[in-house]
Order: sequence, then structure tokens, then C-alpha cells
Amino acid sequence: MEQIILITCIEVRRELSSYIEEDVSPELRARIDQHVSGCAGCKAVYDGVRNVLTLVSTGEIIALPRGFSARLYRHLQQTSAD
Amino acid sequence: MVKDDQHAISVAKTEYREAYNNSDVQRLLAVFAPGFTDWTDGEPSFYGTEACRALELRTTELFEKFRIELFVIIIDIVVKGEIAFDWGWHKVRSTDRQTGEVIDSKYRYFETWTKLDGSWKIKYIISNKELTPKMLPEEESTATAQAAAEKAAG
Repeated sequence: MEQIILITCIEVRRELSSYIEEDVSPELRARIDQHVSGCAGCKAVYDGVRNVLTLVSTGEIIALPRGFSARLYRHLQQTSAD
Repeated sequence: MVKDDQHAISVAKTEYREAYNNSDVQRLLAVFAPGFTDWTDGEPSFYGTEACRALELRTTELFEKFRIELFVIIIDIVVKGEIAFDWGWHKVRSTDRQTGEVIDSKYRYFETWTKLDGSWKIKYIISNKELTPKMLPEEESTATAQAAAEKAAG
């Protein structure tokens, strides 16, 4: 059976956007697949990046929950005051 | 050059994983430098030639009793000339060969590596058991307050 060589979290995170865009070699893809399947930290980062790219690329307008704008504005005011 | 060394250590660490997953004691020992230091969780400290023998005896017994599935998560590998270090987690699934009982464990590890005749070998290994994640008290109270505020805001 073919051995998939280990890859570090640092390398995975460096290659994530290329991986999501399917711009990596099959060998690197297999290494990242294997790492992400067992590393909760990298899986969380991968899901986050993938979600952002999906949202940005679809261009859909997403309905925000009621009061979101007011809460965001309040939070920004508080943050800038700090 | 550093990249080549990092890759060589990834390959050696893959050998380490495969040795466990194939219950191969000699293959595992080949990843270690002669005279390494062993500070593995749950074991006494061993140094020098004793460490090799202790690892051999321990893993022979382990592989007789359990089938091991090792998943290695390397956070990073840092190379400084002829020495290197890496750290991460070892996720271990041990299946009792007699009863089929499965035990899952997760360990944090730190290793140093030395280059011997062009090959990277583990010179020092230290590990301890990973514990359940816990929020700090101040983070927990902030999270609770935020959740309550969002609920009140509807």
C-alpha cells in the first residue's frame, strides 16, 4: 500500500487556498486530505476559509438576523472607543 | 536546504507511524538515534543504549497485545543545521487482539532530531497525555455574557 507522507499544520495552512482552488498536485492533495481528516485545528481553519470563499464567490445577498446591524454598529463604536 | 531537511523528517516521521501501524519493532527502532533519550508519558526515563532496549521490549509487548493505529499531527518542524525539533500530537487507537476492545488516546509530543550519516534520527522524545480543552474563567464569562446579550436582542 502506498504511504502518504506526513505534512505539518504550518504547511497545510500555507497551502490551504491552493488546495481549495484545486491547484495542488495529487500527491500534496492526498497529504493534506489525510492531515485534515485527523487534525481538528486545521479542519476548523479549512472549513472557515472554504466558507468565506464560497460566500464571496456566490455573490448572493444573505439576509442578516434582525438587529444585527445595530449590534454591529454598537460593537464597532465600543471597540473604537477602547 | 531547510525544506529538504523538513521533508526528510516528515518521511522519517511517516516511517515512525508506519512502524506502529504495521507492528514492526525493528522499523520503529531504525527511526531513533543510538543513545536517544526517552521521556514518554507513563514510562520511566531511559537514556542511551538502555532507551533502545526499553523501547524494543515495550513495543514488542504492546504489538503482541494490541493492534495500533497511529495518527500523527505534526504542528511544525524547525531545522537548525544538524539538529531539528518538531512537535504535535500522536493520536493512538489500540485494539486488543484478544477482546477487540478499543482504547483511544491522544498525546502531545516534542522531539529533537539529529542528522547521522545524512539521515535524520530522533535524539530525544518527550510526551504527555492530552487533556480535555477548557476555557479560561474570563473567556467563559465573556462567552456567557455575549450569548445572553444576543438572546435579549432577539
